Amino acid sequence: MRRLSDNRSHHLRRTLNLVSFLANHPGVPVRTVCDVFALSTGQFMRAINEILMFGLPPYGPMDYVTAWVENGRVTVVNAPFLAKPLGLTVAEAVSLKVIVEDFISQSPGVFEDAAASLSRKIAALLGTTGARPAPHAAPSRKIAAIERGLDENRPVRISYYNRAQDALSERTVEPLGIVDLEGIWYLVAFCRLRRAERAFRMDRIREAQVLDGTFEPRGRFDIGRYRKDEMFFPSGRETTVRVRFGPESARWARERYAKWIAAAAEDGGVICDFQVADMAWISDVAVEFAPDARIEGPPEAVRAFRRRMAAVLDLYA
Amino acid sequence: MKTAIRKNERVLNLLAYLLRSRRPVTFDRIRADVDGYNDADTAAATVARRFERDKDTLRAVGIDLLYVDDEATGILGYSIPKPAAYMGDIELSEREVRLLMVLAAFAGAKSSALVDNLASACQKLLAQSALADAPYGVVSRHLVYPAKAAADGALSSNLQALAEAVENRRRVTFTYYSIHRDASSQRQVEPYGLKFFRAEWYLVGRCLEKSEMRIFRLDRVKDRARFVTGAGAEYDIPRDFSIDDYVGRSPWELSRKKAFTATVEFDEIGAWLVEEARPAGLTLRRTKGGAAGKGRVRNETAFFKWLVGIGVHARLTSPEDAAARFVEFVRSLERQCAG
Repeated sequence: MRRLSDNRSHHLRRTLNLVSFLANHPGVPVRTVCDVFALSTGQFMRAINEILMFGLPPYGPMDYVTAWVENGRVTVVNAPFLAKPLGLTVAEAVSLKVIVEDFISQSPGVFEDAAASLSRKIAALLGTTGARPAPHAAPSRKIAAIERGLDENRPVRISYYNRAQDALSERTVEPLGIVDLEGIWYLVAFCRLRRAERAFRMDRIREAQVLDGTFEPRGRFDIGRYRKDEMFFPSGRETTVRVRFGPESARWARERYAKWIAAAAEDGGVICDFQVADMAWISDVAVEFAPDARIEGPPEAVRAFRRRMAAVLDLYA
Repeated sequence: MKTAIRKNERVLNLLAYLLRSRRPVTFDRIRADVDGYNDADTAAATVARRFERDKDTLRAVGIDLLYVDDEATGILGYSIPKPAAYMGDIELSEREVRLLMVLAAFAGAKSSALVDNLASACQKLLAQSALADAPYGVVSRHLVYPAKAAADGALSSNLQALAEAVENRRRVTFTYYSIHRDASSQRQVEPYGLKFFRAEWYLVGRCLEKSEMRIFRLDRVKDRARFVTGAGAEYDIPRDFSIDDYVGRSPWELSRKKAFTATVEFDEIGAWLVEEARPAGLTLRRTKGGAAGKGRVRNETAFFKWLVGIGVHARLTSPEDAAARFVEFVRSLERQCAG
């Protein structure tokens, strides 16, 4: 539970930021303001009303803030002394720095360039040293192509590595959004090959090329659907794979796979039933915890694991 | 809601008034001048209490409200130092603006101290940046969701506290669960840095109990980190400290065992996958059909596991005895890990 005073200061801080934001961007689209301040249209109108009440002595008609909204755009004038944004507090600067730095050295570095330069600028404001220099000064060709497709509604041809099939395939997609979920970037797009909305791991897109022409977005895209803790949208075609973790690895398995635990084993280990769409993934789990993890079934999962190992051994035959 | 709005309006009036004043102003002047304090019907004591609360609110949003001597008259009054109160000059590129817009939008969606501070920082920086070229739809099509940092729980509040501790060189104490020892204990740490790696947050610092550098995973910190006060609680971070020496290393680098140099041949797909993953401690040289990789290996088993993950796209070429052990290792996986 947050304390009341925190709520008040949170609200005040947002109002102050809103005044300077609006005073510096006359005619800014209301939609942008709502985005940046995470406001609904109703909340936005209430906030504007609130701003109108503020002024300076002697509080004559000319001493109050003036604001108008027309054609979906908002203008605020006459907000002396509050138009320039207040300085960043240490708490604000470090929170931004810590989040921004988590984009640096992430693969495939969607915002890496901006994150690295921003981190250095915040560090300069704080008077400390900044993050490591960015490996790339600009986004890679692949990312630039995807972002362009996204901004301009242009189809993009991608070469995508499917780990389950261990193969690259070509497909044309209509980019809808870019999602970073705990450090893994996905391109959400309508896939013309599968005729459905799909999330593609961006580090598995080998190449991307913007095609000519534009596409009409199909229906309303809601990026909020991806606001979840993992990119797992069960299709109902998953296989339940049982993995037994021995006592040596049980603590790690419990910590990481809490939601898959089926039973505790008598030897102090733990048994997990995973819903698996991709046998390569479950093989990775078994290898990571080897020799203290075992895929128990079904037989197709066991066979898939053995096939993978046999294929590796073939290289050395 | 009406009183909350009136309060905000009053505090804004006070703030603008103090920012306008070139000299410290007394409470009596504020009481006479500023809307929200100047109503004659309200008892003086009530207004004074109101003013006390509003000062706290202003300080809570980070405004440096001082009670100082007026140099000319010697009379004590309230003052906000300028231009220090305002944001310094900072020029942002279009890409930085884009990133800030995405972060601001994310931040508003969930609430934790860290996220509120993040949102406010983005809003302030965006206030003085040109938005003209920023694609306005950008926010509805980008989502950044560091769920752990956003959740209103111990991890996000510790992240905020520890980031401030690093910045201000403040010693901290917390209860830490060591999964290797399967036990929790109280630690005192001088925080050196924080890093997000493979979906986890890590703190690196000098642990006073062990008098050694230690790596802490933030989700294993079991309570709220607290600042340690008192003499000797300050410290310096060595100039040559780099968090990358501790977090983000490849698992095969992490051992005290003797290192050997391994070379690996990658095919086209393998070379590309490794380039994308950028593992630390492995150098790649492009060849005709893929790439040749070279790395110093201390933990052989960890290295073998990593190689198995790349499947048929990587072949360990030297040293020969390691390749032979690798084959044995894969055979043991085949026997032990399935069926």
